[in-house]
Amino acid sequence: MNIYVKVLFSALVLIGVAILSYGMTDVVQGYSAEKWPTAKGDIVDARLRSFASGKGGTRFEAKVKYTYQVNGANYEGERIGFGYGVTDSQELPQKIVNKLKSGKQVEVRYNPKRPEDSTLIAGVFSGVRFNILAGILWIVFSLGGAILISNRRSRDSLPARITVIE
Amino acid sequence: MFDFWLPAAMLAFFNLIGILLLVAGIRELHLAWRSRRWEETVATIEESSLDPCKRKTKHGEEVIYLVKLQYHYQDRAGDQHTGNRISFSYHPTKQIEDHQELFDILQPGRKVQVYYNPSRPDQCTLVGGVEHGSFSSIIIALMWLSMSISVPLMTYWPDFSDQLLVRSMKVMP
Repeated sequence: MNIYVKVLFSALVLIGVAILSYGMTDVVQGYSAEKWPTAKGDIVDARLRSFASGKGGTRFEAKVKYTYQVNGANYEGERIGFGYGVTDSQELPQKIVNKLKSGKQVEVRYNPKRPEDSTLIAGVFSGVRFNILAGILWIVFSLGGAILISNRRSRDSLPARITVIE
Repeated sequence: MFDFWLPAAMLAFFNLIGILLLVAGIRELHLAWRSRRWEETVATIEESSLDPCKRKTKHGEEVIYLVKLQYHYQDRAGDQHTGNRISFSYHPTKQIEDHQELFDILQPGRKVQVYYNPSRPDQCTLVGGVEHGSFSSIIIALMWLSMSISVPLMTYWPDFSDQLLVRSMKVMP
């Protein structure tokens, strides 16, 4: 395998590691958030966002904006939960919006080391699986491709490994 | 009813193919590993050819090349056997150049060293042991399985855990 191919496959593996790390960061932060301190936040906006998907259907997402105070400083947040994202079904985002609209304040969990980092829900939404699985797939295919290409070199050496007697 | 059973049957089918590929790859690797300690003897090449073969693909047909070989050898007990394996990792490819040198060496009438399984003398190979290529089938099977497992997990994931998370959100009047 020449140096350019090695660099290409190393870059591909690194992209896979980056995608996987992004997903894993959400998992780690999501579970860490269970121990984060809480503050009362004011709900500024809560609405259901819908948009056309590439397949001709409609996709949905709950959007929220809230403000909260930590040690006298004001912060603004938009995160519902780690791994939460767009879905094909309207049911879950509608439920989130309805619940947020049923009150004026919400419990906010904030990172004690970086209070601007916050979430309304601790734990991890199932949407996180996309980044984790995509990262694993990317790594498996990049490494698999690299190994299969390097196997071609081993085939090149096959004639030298046959012992001809006469 | 088909909404559940059809995808489930397709998922089972694709995963079964992946598992069969993996089992075949592991079996091939195991055999290649054991062939390091097989008995050696001399084989005489009877026939060899490097002809193009057609293989059906998603986009139509493609031409592939492979050295087809037949050789005979005698085991320690004096029994005659016929073999055609060059190596456990030797597979057809689209480039004739990959096979030309091999074909030039393996001409009819030539005598070559062959390794055969002492407990099953009909199992033989011209190149014994594990090579890089011995892992190819396992790699392909793992790539297949990673795809056949991941895609359904991305598509058909129940959201009951998300419903529980939403229930834990505390909203105050």
